[in-house]
Amino acid sequence: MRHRQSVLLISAGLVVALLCTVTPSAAQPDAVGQWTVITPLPYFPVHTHMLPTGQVLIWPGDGGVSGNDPRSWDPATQSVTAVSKPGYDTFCSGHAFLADGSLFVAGGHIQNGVGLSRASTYNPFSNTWSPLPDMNAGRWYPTTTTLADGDVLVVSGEVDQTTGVNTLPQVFQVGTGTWRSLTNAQLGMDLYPHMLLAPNGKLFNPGPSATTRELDTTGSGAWSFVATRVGGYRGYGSAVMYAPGKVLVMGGGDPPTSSAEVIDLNQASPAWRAVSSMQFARRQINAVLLPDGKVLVTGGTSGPGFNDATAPVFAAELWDPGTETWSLMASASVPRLYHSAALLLPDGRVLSTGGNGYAATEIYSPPYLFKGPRPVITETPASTAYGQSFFVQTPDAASVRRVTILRLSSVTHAFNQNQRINELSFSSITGGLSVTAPGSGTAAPPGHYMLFILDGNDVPSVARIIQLGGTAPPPPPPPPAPTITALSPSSAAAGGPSFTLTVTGTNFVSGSVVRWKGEGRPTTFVSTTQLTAAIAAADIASPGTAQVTVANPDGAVSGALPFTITSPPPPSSFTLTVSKKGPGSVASSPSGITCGSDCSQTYGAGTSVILTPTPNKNARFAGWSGACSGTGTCSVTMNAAKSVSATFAAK
Amino acid sequence: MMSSRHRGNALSPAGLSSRWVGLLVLVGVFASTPAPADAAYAAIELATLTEGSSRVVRGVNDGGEAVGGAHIGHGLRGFLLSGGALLRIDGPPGSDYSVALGINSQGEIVGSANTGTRVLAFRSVRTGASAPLAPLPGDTSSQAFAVNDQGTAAGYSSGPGEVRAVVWSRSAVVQSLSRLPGSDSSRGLAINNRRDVAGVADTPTGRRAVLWRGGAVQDLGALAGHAVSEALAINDLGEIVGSSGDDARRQAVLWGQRGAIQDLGTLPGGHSSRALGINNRSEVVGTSETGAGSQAFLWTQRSGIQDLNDLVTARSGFVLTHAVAISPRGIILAIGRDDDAAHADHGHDHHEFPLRVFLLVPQP
Repeated sequence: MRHRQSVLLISAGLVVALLCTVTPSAAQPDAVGQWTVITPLPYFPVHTHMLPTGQVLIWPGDGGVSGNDPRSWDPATQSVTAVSKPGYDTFCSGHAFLADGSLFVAGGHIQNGVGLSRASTYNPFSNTWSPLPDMNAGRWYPTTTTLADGDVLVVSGEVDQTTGVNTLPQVFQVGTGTWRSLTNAQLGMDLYPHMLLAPNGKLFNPGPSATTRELDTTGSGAWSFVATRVGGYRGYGSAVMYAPGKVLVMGGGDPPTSSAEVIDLNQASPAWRAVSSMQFARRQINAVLLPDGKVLVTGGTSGPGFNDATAPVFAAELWDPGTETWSLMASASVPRLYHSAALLLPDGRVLSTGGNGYAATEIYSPPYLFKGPRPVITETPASTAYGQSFFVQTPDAASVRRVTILRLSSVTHAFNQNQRINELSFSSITGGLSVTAPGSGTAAPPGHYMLFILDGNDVPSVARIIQLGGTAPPPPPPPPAPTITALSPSSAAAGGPSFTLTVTGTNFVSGSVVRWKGEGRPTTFVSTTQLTAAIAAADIASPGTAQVTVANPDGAVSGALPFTITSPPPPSSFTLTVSKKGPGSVASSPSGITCGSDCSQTYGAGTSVILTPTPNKNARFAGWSGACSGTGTCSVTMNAAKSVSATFAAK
Repeated sequence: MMSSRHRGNALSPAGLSSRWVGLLVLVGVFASTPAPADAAYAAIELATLTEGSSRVVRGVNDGGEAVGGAHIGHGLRGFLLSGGALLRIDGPPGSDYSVALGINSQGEIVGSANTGTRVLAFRSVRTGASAPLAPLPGDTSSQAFAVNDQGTAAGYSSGPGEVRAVVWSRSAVVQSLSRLPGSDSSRGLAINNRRDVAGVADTPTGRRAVLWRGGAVQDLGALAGHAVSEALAINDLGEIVGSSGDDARRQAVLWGQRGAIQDLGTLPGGHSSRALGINNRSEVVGTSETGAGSQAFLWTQRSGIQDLNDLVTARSGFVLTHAVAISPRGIILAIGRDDDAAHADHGHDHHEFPLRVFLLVPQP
C-alpha cells in the first residue's frame, strides 16, 4: 500500500513537473545551463559529501534502510563502490570536514526523533572510520561547522521526543580529541540550524529562525544578537555565505516563500535586507555556491506542508551577487524534495541526488561550461599555508581574471554544512600564476578546497583540490626563471668551425638547456651562473643573428641575447702560381718564385709582383698567358689568387 | 507543526493560527473494530503533530492534561493540551523557542524558552502566561523538566562553570543540588512530592543515573556490564525508572525504594527498551524496540512488560510507539503514528510522519 501511494505521488509529481517546467526564452545552454540524467545510484542518498580524494561519499537512511551503508561514487565513471562502514546508523547526523580531510560525523539515528550521542571521523585516504568520545547527549538533526582553528562546533539535534532539542553547543577539540561544552551558551535551536563561520570568528546562525544570532565559541561560549530577518521563518529553506561575511538566505517556510534576504556581517551594524525574489516559491531546496561566485538553487516544492510531492519545482535559479537578482535556469527532470542534495563537483558541474524515493541522479552543467574553452591548471601544490603565495601552473595565465577556492561540500536536509567560497589575489608570472592563500582560518577554515581559475568570461577551469592551512610542510616557492647576462663568444664568422658557447647569467640549474634559435643544444651545467653549450658549425653557416635563451626544467625560459654570425673576412694574402713550359725560368720580385724549382708564392693582399722570364741559352721567351700577356715582364697585383703561365721556346 | 484537525470551540489564544495548530479530540470516538479480550485502556487522541521539526510530548496529570512542544507558526512552541483545547505557551515576548516539559496535578507547567540569547526555565499556568526561573547566580541559562504538586521544579542551571542540577521553589528561589564526585554536569529530570529529584550526572566514565534526596546525591549505578545509565522518572514511593546502557543497547530499568536495580526487559523480539514514566502504583511505561519498530509498553510487577498496543480498546489505524508518562491515576500519555507507517524493519521507514498524541485511559 505504501509503495503504491509512493508511485502515485511520484506520478503526480511528474505531471506537475510538466506544468511547472519553465523554459526561459533564451533556452540555450550558454544562458540556462543543461541537465543530464546519469546512471541511477543504488539508493537515494540522504547525506552527500565531496571528498578530498575526488570521490563523492553518500549514505542513505530513509525508506527503511540504515545509514550504516556508505558508498563512494566516482564522478568520472559514475561507478559506485562500497566503503568501510561506521558500524552504526549515521542517518540524520551532522557532518563537516576536518583540516586533514577527514569527514567529521556527529549524532545519528536511534529511532525517529531519538538521536545518537556518538561521533566519528571517516578518513577517505585510508577508508577507515574512527570513533570519537560521545557527546553530552543524543543529537538527531545537528549541525556541525568547522571553526577557524580546525575544531568543530556541534549544535542542536533532537535528544528524544520527551526531552526535545539538545540545547548545549559543544566543540570537538581535534588536538586533544575531547569535547568542550559551551555551558554559557545554552539555547533552544531549530533542527539542522544554518551555521556559518563569520569573518570575526563567530558562528552566525541565519536561520531557519528569523531571530539571527552569532555564537562566540571561545571558553564556555556566548551568544549575541545580530538582527531579525525580514522574511520570517524559513524552515527547509537554505543559506549560503556567498562572500566572506555576506550571507544569502532564500526560500523555505510554510507555505513556501520565493523571497530572499542578504546581510553583510562586515558592517558595523549588520541588518537584513530583502533582495529580489526567486521566480518560484520553494522549500526542501538546495543552494550551491559556484566557482564564479553565483548561487544556484535547485529543487524543492512550492506546495504547503512539510513535503508536498505534488508541487515540485524543476527549474533551477541562479543568483548573481553583483546584481542581487535571480535568473531562471534549465529545468531538471526529477523532483528533488525532502532528503535531496546538490553539490559542486571539481569539474564545475553540479551533482543532484536523492529526495525520498528517487535514486535517479542528474548532473547540471551551468552556463559557464558553454562559453568557450576552459582555462587549464596543469599543476598546483598539494597544500598551502595561510597567507602564503603559491604557484599555479597554467598555460592560460594571460587570460585568467579570477581565482576562487570553494570548500568541499557536505550536504543534508537542505543545507550544506561545509561549503564556502573565497576569491584569491594573484599575479601572472612565468609559466602560471602566483596566488596568495587566505590569510587566516576565519577567512577560510583549514581543510580541503577546490581551486578554480576563471577567464574573462568567468569560465572556470577544472578545479584542483588543495589543502589549506594543513600540517604538511609548505610547498617550495616557484623556482625563479633563468636570466642571461653574457655570451662568450658573442659572435662568430659565418662558415666558421663548431665551438663552445659559454653562457653567463643567473638561476641556472642542472638540466638547464641553452637554446639556439629556440632549439636546444647540448649543454653542460657549470654553475648556477654559467652554462656551456656545443654549437655546431652548421649553426653558423650563414651570416645573421641567432637568439640564445636558457630553459630550465620547470619550463621557465630566460630572455634572449643575440649571437652574431658575421660575414667571413677578406683573405689577407693570395697565392701566385707560375706554370712554366720550355727552357727558361721565371723569378719574382718581391722574391719567392724561382720557377723551375719554386713556382708558387703567397703574397700579401695588394702586393704588386713582377715576374721576369729568363730563357736558357738557345732559347727565347715566347710569352705570358694567364694573368699576364705579352713577352715583357709580368706585373700582377695580388688581389686574388692568380696563375700565370710562361712559355719558353728554342731559338 | 501541528495538523489542522481540531475542535473549533477549543482553540488556543489569539495569534494561534488554525492553519498550524490543531487538536483532534477523539473522546468517545473509537473505531469499530472489536475490542480485544484483555483490553484495558481507551485511546483518546489529543493532537497530531506534523512532521519536520522537533516535537516533544512529556507530562501528564490525572486531569488528562499533557504538555510538550511542536512547530507552531514560526518555530518550536510549548503547548498544553487540556480539556480538548490546546494552549500555546510562548515564553517571553519575542522568544523564538519554547517547550513545556512538566506539569503537576494543579496544572502548573514548567519548561524552557529562549530569551534573547539564552534559554531560560519558566513556570506557567493554564493562562499561558509564564515567569522565568532564574539560573544560579553567575549562570546564564536554565531549563526545568518537572514540577511536583508543591510547585517545586527540577532542572538545571548552566553558566561559565558547569551544568548543575537545581530545584526551584514555588516562589522561584533556585537551589543547587549536590555535585556527584567527579562530575561537572548534572540535570534534574524528575521530582516527586517528597522532593526527591532523579536525573543524570556526567562522570569521566559516562553518564550515570542519580538521586538527590535530603541534600545528598546518590549514584544509582547500572546493570552489570553497563557503564552508563539514566534516571527519567520518580514516584512518591521513591521508585525510579530509566535505562541502563548506551546508545547501542539500552535496557529499561527500575530502581526500587532501596536502590536495587531491576531489568524490566524488552517486548518479545526486542533488543532495546527505555522506561519513561512511573506512578505511585509502580506502573511503568516506556518504549521498546522490536522487530516491528518501536512499541509502547506498560510494565507492572504482576504482569511484567506488555505491549500497550495490545491493551487498547479498538485500536485502529495507529501504532503506539512510546508511552511517555503515566499519571497517579494511571492515565498514560503515549505517542504513535499511522499504522501503515509503522511497519518498518528498521524503525524509520518514511521517518518524517505526523506524530499522533494519545491519552490512554484505564477502563473500569
